[in-house]
Order: sequence, then C-alpha cells, then structure tokens
Amino acid sequence: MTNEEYALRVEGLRTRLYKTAILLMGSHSQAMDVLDEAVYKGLCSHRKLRDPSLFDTWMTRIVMNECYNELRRQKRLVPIEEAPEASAEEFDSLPLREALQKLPRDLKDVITLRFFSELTVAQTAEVLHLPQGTVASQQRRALKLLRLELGEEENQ
Amino acid sequence: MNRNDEFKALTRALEEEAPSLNASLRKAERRRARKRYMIRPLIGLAAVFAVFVALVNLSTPVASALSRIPVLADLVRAVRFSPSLEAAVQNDYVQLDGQSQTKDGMTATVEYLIVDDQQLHVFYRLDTEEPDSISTIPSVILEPDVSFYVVSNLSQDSEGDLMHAAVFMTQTPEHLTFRLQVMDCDDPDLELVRFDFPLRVDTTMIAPAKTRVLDQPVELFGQRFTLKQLEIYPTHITLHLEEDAGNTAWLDQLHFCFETEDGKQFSAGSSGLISRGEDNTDSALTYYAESPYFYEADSFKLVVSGAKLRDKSVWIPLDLETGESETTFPGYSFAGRKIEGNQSVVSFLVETDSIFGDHAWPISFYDKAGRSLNTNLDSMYNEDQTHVETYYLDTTDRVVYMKPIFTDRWQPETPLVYTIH
Repeated sequence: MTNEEYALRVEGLRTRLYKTAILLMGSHSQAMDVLDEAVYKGLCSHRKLRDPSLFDTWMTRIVMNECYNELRRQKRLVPIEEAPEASAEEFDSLPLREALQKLPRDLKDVITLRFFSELTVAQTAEVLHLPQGTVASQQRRALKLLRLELGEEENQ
Repeated sequence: MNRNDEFKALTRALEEEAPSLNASLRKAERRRARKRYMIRPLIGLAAVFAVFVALVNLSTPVASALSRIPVLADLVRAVRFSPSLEAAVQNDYVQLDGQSQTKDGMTATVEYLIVDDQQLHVFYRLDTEEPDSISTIPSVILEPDVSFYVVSNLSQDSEGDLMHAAVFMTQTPEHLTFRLQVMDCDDPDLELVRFDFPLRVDTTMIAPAKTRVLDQPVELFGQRFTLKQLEIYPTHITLHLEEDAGNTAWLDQLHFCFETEDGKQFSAGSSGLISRGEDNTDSALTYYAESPYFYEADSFKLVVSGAKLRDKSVWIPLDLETGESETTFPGYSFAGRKIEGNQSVVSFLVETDSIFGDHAWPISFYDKAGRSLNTNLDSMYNEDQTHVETYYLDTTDRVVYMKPIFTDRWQPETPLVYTIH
C-alpha cells in the first residue's frame, strides 16, 4: 500500500475511527489527539500490512490501542475486574452517551466496535482477541443493560 | 425518545461532528519527515567500551573565507560543530575523493576526507527520491592488521545534505573500504542498498601528531591516577591516564577541556567518542577531545573540572522475568525480555530526555560470575516519548547484574590546571 492509498483509506474510515475514539476517550479534543497518534503510527507501519482487506480492522485496533495507552497514561483505565458494575436502573436514568461511559470496559468495547465502529462480530472478536461467542454474549449483555434493541442492520 | 431513537440520534450527531483526518495525515507526514534516525554505533574489535555523546550541533556559525567557495560551503557547514575540523578545513587540511555510485535509484557520493593518524572523517552524500523512508549506516572494512574503535554516524539523513561519519582507528591505513548501508526506516534490519567505496588515503598528506609527556599524579575523590601523555592530532587530542592498582573505584569519566591563552576552549567528544576503556580495567583511561593543533600559541592549559567514579563493589541484580531491581534509574523502565536461542533480548523504555543525560544507567550487564553479557544494542528513538533501547544479552538466566555507570561525583572547588608547552 502506498502512502497515498493509506491516506485515502484512513480518510474513508474517518467517521468510524472518530466514533471509536470519542466514545472511548469521552471528549473531542482527546479523541483528536488519539487519532493524530494513531494516524502517525499507521503511516509508519502500513507497509507491513500484508493483506489490505484487513485494513479496517487493523486501523481500528491501532486507534483502540492508542485510546488505552492514553487512558493508562492518564490513569483512567480501570482494570475490568475492579470496575464497579452499575445496576440496570442506573443505566435507565442516564442519557445513552453517559450510559455507554458507565458500561464495564469489556462491554463498552464490544458495543463501541459493533455499533459505532461498524465492525462485524468476527472483526470485533479479531480486534479484541476474543472468541466470537464471547463477543456475542457480551453484546447481548450490554444491549440489555442499555435497553437497546439493535440488530445487524444497525451496523451496516 | 426511546433508546433506539437515542442511538440513531447519537450516531448521527457523531457522524456529523467527525472531522476530516487530512490534518492528522499532514501532521503525521511532517512528523515522519522530521526523521527518526537510528543510533547504532559500530563497535570495533579493539574497543572494550566506549562512551558516546549526543551529536547536536549547537555552535554558532562562524563566517569563513571558505564558505564563499561553493564547492566547500557544504563542508564548512558540516564541520561547524567541531573547532578541530573547522580549523582543518580553514587550513585546507582536506582530501577530495569524488567517487560516486548509483544503485536502485539512489546515488551515493564520497566527497571529502579529513584524516590524521587515528581518525578518518568521511563526508558523503546520498541522493534518493524517498529520503524520509530510509536511514543510513556507515562502516569501514579494514585490513586485518588495523582495528577500529568505533564508527560514528555524525549526520542526520536528509536528501542532498552532506553527511558525515567519523572512524576512530589504531592507525589510519592507506587503503580501506567505506561501506554505506541504506536501511528501511520501518524495518531497521532490512537493507535496501549497499554501497562499497574503495578509499585511498594520501598518507603522505597526514600531519604528524605532536606528543607531550605529562606524568602528573592526580587524586580524584581519594583515588589515585596519573595524567600520562597527550597526543595532539589535527582532528583531536588523545589524553592517556594510568590508574593506581590500589584504587577502590573505577574512573568512569574525567571532565576536562583544553584552554588557550586567549580563553578559547576545546572540549571533549564532539566527534562521537569521549573515552575508551581497555580490557584489563573498568576505568576509562583514554580520552578524546577537540584539538588546538592548528592554533598558534606557545602554550595551552589542560583544565580538569570533575570526574565520575564507580565503587568497585556495587552490583545491582535485575530480574528479567519481572523487571524488578533494587535500584531504579530515572527515565528508564523495563519493557520486557524475549528469549531467542541462547540470547535474551531485553528492552527498556526510555524517556527521550534521559538518553544523553547525565545518568547512571548501566548499559552493561553481567552474569553472577562477572562475565559481560552484552553482545549488541539497538537504540531507536523518535521525537516523541517512545524511545526503546534493546540489549542482546548472551544468557537465558533469569537474573543478570548491572553495574551503575557511576556511584560518586568529584567536583573540586577550583579546577586543576596544567600548563602544556
């Protein structure tokens, strides 16, 4: 892939990458900082990507990793096992965007990738290094907590 | 609004506010073009250890008559960082080469040599269509009877600019091969092109060294040394010390400079090598500094302003599985160990400010019996905070031992001054 092709592919993915970054980081400025870093890292290493059909997943993973790096740096990344779980009632009372932020990290990752980054279950499993079955069950759990009824058509 | 409507509204809002990433792409391109470059000093067989310095040219440009001559203007620019080399150029102490080779769309040209009995400075150029995606590694191939201590890459890679490598040798030979490897920036182990230039040095044009015997005893933080001798070459001065066998500390670094009667200073290490050790001691007893060779004066002064010493008894264990150590080194953190065959590949994250700072980071690793384990070092850094140092250690042991570079600093209230005629 040439640098020009990389630039076109990244720009084509801008909406998905932005949604991923802003939902994980919480603010526009922090999302843009993360995207700057991810775009730079992608530029430096896109030649190593052997299969261009994996570009979307690969780039999403870079963005996700950069979000975690930044959250870790800011000490905002709470280990999954330590995160307090909010009750279903608490989620009900919150606007969706805030409710998303309240989700346990593993569920938030799945919802973000599936319905905002528009990845399939298989791609989400690939990005998160999880079995597809685990992704499917976490998706069900998260949707239930958020009282969302989303199917495949919502992430096309 | 129900949750699904809320989801659709949120999705729509985020899509509307999603900015173009063209600005991020431009920033990334500029950042990449600022060049990350690789420090990979090539250590020669004759060097037991050597201390390197950051080679950043901060000197004020000095107008020179030669800068008006187009062919040498780039050379004058390239040597501004070194008073010795600047004086060499001003005194026409330069040999022209002019060999050029083209391979795979890249053209390498060796332009000038500045050479004395122990140092060879090669000034070369690399023209390529993709200067941002390559880095260069200069090296030399010598006859078996000549050893080199180190080849310093003194230039950042950039298209068209004159680049500079310094070779520190036991004796400059008449014939040698200058090798320039062009590497892929993204994969530093991938060699894209290799140029081999057979160089012929006109040894009849080499200015002879001047030797001054000092034989001055000096006590540094209670440790006894002798300032033995100076060898004054056009490109550098070599200062030799001896140590007392009864010392309880090694000499890590001597801080000194040479000063002329009118106050001009010639300090250490601007060509990449500050000091060198020998195989029977941990002390650095040979030092390199800028040279007043071309400076006309009856005398000049050696000014010793401080030293760093290391207590011989201090060893620090490091657990390569966990990274735990009883001593921490500010700016350095353990990143992990990978076993490859009989070797451990150990990485440390380094804050960029710490790379060339005044720190006690060990660099050398040993086994329990005191055997040195270092075989190679890769040091990659960017302008961000993601510098990584990777050490290739000749062991699969879980615990290795580090010796800090220094444990004590010595700084006299009044510097020691020796007049040299």
